[in-house]
Amino acid sequence: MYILHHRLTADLFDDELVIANLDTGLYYTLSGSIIEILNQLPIENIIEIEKLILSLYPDADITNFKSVFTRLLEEQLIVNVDKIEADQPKWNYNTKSSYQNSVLNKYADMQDLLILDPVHEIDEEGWPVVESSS
Amino acid sequence: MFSLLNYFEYLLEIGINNCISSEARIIADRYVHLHSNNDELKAKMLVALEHLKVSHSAQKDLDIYYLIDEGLPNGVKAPDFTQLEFNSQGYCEELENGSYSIFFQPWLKQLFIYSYDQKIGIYWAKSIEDIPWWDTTFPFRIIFHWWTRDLPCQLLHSGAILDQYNQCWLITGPSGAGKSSTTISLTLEGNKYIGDDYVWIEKNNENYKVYSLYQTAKLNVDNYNLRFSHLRSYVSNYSMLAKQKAIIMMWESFPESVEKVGDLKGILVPHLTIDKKSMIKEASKSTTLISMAATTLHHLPHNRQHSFQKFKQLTNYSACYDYLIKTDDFSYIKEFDTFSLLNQNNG
Repeated sequence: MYILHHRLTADLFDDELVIANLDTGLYYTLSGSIIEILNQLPIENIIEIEKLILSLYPDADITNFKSVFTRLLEEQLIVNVDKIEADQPKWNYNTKSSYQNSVLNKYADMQDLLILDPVHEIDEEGWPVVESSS
Repeated sequence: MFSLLNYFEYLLEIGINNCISSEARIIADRYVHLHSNNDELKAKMLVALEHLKVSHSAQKDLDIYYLIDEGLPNGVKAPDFTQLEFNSQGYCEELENGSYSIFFQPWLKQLFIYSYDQKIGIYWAKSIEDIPWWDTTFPFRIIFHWWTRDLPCQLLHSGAILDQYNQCWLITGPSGAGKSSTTISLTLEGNKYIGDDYVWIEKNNENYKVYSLYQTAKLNVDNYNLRFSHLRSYVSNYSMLAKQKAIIMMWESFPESVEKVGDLKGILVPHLTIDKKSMIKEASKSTTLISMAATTLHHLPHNRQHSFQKFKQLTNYSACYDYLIKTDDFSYIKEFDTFSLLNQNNG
């Protein structure tokens, strides 16, 4: 079952969706008809997803769709799970009725900084001390 | 098991019993009372807020106790963090309960705690020497951030300029994007400085106001040497430039050029360039939101969902522009003048 990741926040500006994972500091923009598929999640499997996009957009470019869908999975914006939780998030963003190719951009400037964790030890009073090499 | 409530009460009792001086500052029309146990600490921490000083006020919107061990009978006991994990941004998810917040970076001997109900913040550092220099340029930033959770306000990692037509422009983006150098250059050319690093945004009905927080402008040393060395006499930490950014106290150095508040007109995201001409052009709201939110929420790891919602509203409200800045000349200043005049004419 494909669902939206639980810890995302998103908003639509013009025709572009800004998606933020506030835990990791990763930000994305997503445009195109794939947003309508995200609105429809959860969906059972990839066959159902492809059926859906072709029923909504008979002229859809399936290659483009699959490529962006795969990236959404790789980035864990969409996850494949066995069971749906009761508080599963649901999106409902307006999309254009005509088919648009999809584009996902990733902004990871801050993410490298987020995972830094300097080495530290505790002194005799219980307070941390800086490693001499750091 | 560590209790944030108990540790807050423990530090608060020390703060109340050992306070030797209290001063007030006005931030966005609210009164902040700052209580210290040490005069050297006071001088170090309050200079960045000097332009917001007011005579002691009966109105209290926020209390901050800030302490060092010197002068305390038994110092401050280390909290038992052995079972807890703080990340490098000072955040421990396990301790966040909605009533109290704590900020503790494990390699520093300082911490910040806040009670949302009591609106009391506490800052403690083991000694003056344990206070990182950068914390004196934006004192109590994380406490102000916690305070804004329940207000129509948000701290923003951004410069802010009031142009000659009283229009306020945010100049936002990550460190190194050109916020400070652009803000200082524009200030020296006739605009007014509201801030260059962190400012306070407040939603006021359907409009936004931008309030000054800190008077401490900071320049990377390379940038200072290249473009701002004529400001040598204003640099307050010249002997420390091998280890610190160049700091200029804007209120003390250029009092006529500092403003405490402005009505927001729009957001500029600077982009440094060497081969394109300086230009201000309309930008997408989505990339502007990301520029603004990513850098601010990196520094301010608590209450991110709240803050992100505020950023979304701010971006929806604002006109957003990319500000291409050619770094080897000053054409970007003329470009800004033309741009602000055009906006003034367009109402």
